Amino acid sequence: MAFRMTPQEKQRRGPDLTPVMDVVFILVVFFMVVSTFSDTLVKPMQVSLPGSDEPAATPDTARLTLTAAGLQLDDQPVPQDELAARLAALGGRPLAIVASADAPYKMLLDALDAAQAAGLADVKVQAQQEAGQ
Amino acid sequence: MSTGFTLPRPQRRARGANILPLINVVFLLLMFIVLAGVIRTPDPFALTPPVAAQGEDAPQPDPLTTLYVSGAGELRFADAAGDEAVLTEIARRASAGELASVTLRADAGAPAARVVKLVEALRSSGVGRVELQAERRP
Repeated sequence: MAFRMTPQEKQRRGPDLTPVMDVVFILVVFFMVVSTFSDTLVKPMQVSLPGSDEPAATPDTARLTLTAAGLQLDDQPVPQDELAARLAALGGRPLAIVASADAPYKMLLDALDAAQAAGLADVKVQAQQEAGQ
Repeated sequence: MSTGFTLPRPQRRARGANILPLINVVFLLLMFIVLAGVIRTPDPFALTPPVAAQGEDAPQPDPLTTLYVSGAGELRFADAAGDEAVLTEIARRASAGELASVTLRADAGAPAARVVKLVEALRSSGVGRVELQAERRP
């Protein structure tokens, strides 16, 4: 004999919440899969364009060269962890960051980060001219 | 003299576990994920942006104004793929006044010189502001 609840018993026990739970669990799984909690930021980038109306590099412009082998500030090798301190010691001189063809983009972001941390306001970025150009 | 006669109490039928606390917790979890998470458009190819400590908080990136650069230097912008198609599309939208700024989302291993040349090309195309996107350093 099949067990059936009387209407009074159904009313006493309340509505069946199992379908609601199914839907809510599916929603939780969906949002967990499609959501991201990563924290992104942006850096406005200033580049020097040849032939533009921007002022050309002055003789006191410091030159930071990025290569896969490492960093060079005014042709002197600089360890990555000392870069911010060395840039701060420039005393507000303009800085030109020159990216060579083999330097990774991560290195450029680190250099821009260090320049910003050092409080340099005049920072230009340019790609190193390859041989024959 | 009367003899007491008591009926045995009817045994209560065992009820299932109370799932209301579970529902409360799951709803709270759902609210947290909905409020704290951001539904992000997936990148057109696998890329890992570099990390940075300094920068401005980025709003939800608009995929229609984001230029993607893979580790190998491959470009993707909206529906355009490849250097020529991407730069043509950007120049067209910039000249139509639809593109005041472009967010550049590049892989950490992409060649830096290529990124710099891209930024130069964007500015030559009439894009007023170029932003480099990075993950915040923990």
